Amino acid sequence: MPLLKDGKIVNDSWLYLDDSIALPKVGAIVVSLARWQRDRAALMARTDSVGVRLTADQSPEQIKEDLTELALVAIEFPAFTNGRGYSYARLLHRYGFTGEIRAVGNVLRDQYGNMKRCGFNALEVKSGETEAHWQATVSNFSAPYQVAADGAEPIMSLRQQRMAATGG
Amino acid sequence: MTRQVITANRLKDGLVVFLAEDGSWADSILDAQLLKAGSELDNRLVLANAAEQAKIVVGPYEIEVTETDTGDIRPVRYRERIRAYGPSTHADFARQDIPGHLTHLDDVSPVYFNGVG
Amino acid sequence: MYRYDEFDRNFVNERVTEFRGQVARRLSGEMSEEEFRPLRLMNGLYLQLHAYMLRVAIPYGTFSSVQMRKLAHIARTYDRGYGHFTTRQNIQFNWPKLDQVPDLLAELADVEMHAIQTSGNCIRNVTADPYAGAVADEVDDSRIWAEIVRQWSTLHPEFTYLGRKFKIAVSASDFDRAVIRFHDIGLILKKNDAGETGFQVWVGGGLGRTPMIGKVFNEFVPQQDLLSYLEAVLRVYNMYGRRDNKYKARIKILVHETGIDELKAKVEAEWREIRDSALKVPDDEVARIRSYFAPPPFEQLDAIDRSFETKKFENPEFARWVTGNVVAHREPGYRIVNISLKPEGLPPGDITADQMEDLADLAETYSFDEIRATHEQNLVFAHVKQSELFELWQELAEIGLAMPNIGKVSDMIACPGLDYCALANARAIPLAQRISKRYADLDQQFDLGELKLKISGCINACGHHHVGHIGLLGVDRRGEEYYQITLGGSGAEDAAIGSIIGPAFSSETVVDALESVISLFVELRLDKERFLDTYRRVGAAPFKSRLYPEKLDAAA
Repeated sequence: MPLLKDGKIVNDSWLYLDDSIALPKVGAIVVSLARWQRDRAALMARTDSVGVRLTADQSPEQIKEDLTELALVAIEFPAFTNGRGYSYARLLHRYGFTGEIRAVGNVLRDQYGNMKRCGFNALEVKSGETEAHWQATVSNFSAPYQVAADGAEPIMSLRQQRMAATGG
Repeated sequence: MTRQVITANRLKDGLVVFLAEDGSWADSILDAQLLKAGSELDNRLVLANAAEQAKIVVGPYEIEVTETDTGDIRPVRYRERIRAYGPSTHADFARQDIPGHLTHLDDVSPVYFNGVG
Repeated sequence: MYRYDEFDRNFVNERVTEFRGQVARRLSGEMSEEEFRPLRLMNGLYLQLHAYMLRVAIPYGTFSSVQMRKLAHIARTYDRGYGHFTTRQNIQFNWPKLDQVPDLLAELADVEMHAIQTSGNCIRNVTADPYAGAVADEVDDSRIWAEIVRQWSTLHPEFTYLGRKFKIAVSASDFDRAVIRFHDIGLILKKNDAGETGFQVWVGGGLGRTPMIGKVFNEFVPQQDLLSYLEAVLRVYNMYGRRDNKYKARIKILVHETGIDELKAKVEAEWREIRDSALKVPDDEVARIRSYFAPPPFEQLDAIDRSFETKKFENPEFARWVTGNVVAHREPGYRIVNISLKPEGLPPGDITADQMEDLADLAETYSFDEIRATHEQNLVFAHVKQSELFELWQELAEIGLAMPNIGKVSDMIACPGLDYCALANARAIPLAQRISKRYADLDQQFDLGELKLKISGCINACGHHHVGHIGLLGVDRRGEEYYQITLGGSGAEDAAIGSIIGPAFSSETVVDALESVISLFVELRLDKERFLDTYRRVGAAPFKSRLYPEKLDAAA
């Protein structure tokens, strides 16, 4: 699957490793939570990066202590209407995770903006979709109402700054 | 004897439409093509689904109808009668272009509660 | 009332542009109906039985004459000359065409209105006490806090694809005029012993297929921590709420299945993590928003106006309207006026474009240019001089809006039902129209006293039938419209869920059945007891045997 990463469509250098397949010696791999919990030692002994793929009912709380070992967390969207992953990304961000947070599965272009705001920095796109397709759905809101994971200044603080500046 | 007609909502304005014999979508159930259940209906459903793909209609499906004594087409289910005849809440919202369903109009609002229900 | 600053204005304009793009991509076929559906719903646009329907937000039900005039224009241009007030203090329009909706939204944005989150599995339009800022029994103006919640919840990036819709209401009184206990989150403003303001938080109330009364999750969340507490509840719900069955996806089911203590602990744990963050509401911002809700320039008036008393004495119809629709105001010489949108035989909550324009003028003349919509599908002029009530009443009578039936049997809530709604099983409005005709005698209505009758056309319960003193629920029984009767519900501070009294009645017999229930109430009633109190005293049994005598015979 191609990926949209930081606004560009790129080839995915990560391998999703099925639980039944033996660990390869080299190359970045993404494993299931069960595999991570089972083969933790072996996975950490490898030199190349490892990531964990969470299903929609696996909260990142379960890997909170492991995040320094991981370079990527993939969050599955079984349906584009299942929005659990947005909160999972917020949690990962709050835990201080600095690796890639990737949305995989059933993701719509129109969800791109919200996903970015919640801390996702990569999304799996359908084959044939171009950067232009994705750019077309990016909405131009000058400022949001909420604080989220993207660091955008919310309207409430912009108002505060303005009040401070005008002394009123 | 019951027959089938295919109905949907038009994408652009959302209005109720019925598949006509020439493959167009008619505003009135009186212009709907009567179909026999089975292959005749199935073939037309293929066309209806293509019309959904072609951005003409949304959610096509078949409904059961009967022909009245006067030759008008009347849906069997009351839900579909309301769809075909218009809301029963205001006299002027009931569809004036479809005869035969306002016969029970009386002084009791709703205007054709008995006619539809 | 609240006015947009440039941030709010930009935001709403940008939302119109975004939706215009989405509609264009749907019409060009770039987007399927399945993909478009959640996007249009989040902007209040439904595809109903006969056409599209657009639900326009009236945040916490407060709006101005300018906005009312724009709604009248929209009713004429895009609907067939009507608007329809809903139980979420919103207004909806039938018959708009998809390709015209972006223009409609742009027109709304011109008067600081929108349709954001009036549907969809997101945080819905925030509701509040329709008497806020006028009534003596409130701790604070609930609209200040409803506005803060509105802004926080507007296009919240994390809570846009929840398991199900999420409704928040705010009140500031011991009297519940906002159905607080049947919301996903109900907020009641309180003062603690130290005199600080905070919120009693009710979680997990709701109607629908499985009605539940909310539970108190926190007795006192300090006002500056409101948003962090809400965010904690929403995050826990978003992560743990069920996604496997849409009828079990509301937070009420999560509360019920997890248990209050365990879920409360989860919420509190999450709250501790985010309480001291940028979610704290700064005092300056509260003050800024509060300034918009400052009391209007009331005149110093005597509590009793002699001419008002004379008019009441001279004109019994006026006196009846005052008794029925007018309530006390906290300022001497002022009154709160309820305007019933339940004239005899007409669809509950409907209003014509002409009436909207007339009401806009009347609000300017008599009530500081401000109108409220109530969850019971009526309107309120919150600040009317006692000395001007007679003139206002005369003007309302001229436009057919002086029906004195507030809280009476003909003041029904009815959902759109099968006349409009794609989900309904039976009609609701025509039944309301028939009941309204049956109980057209106002003397009889006044004798019966407060009687909340609520009608839903399907189990989703948009007509609040579970909390009607008498509720009617439309069902489809073998291709016929039938109606189930529930008794003993209440959406007020004495919250209760009505019980189904027995098998459903056909559309031909249900009005007679209702009349049997009401006449039995009259027989059993002590003094001036309300229907609800009689029912609570005597229980369901006498009503069952009156409605189903054959069962009694069979048992004997």
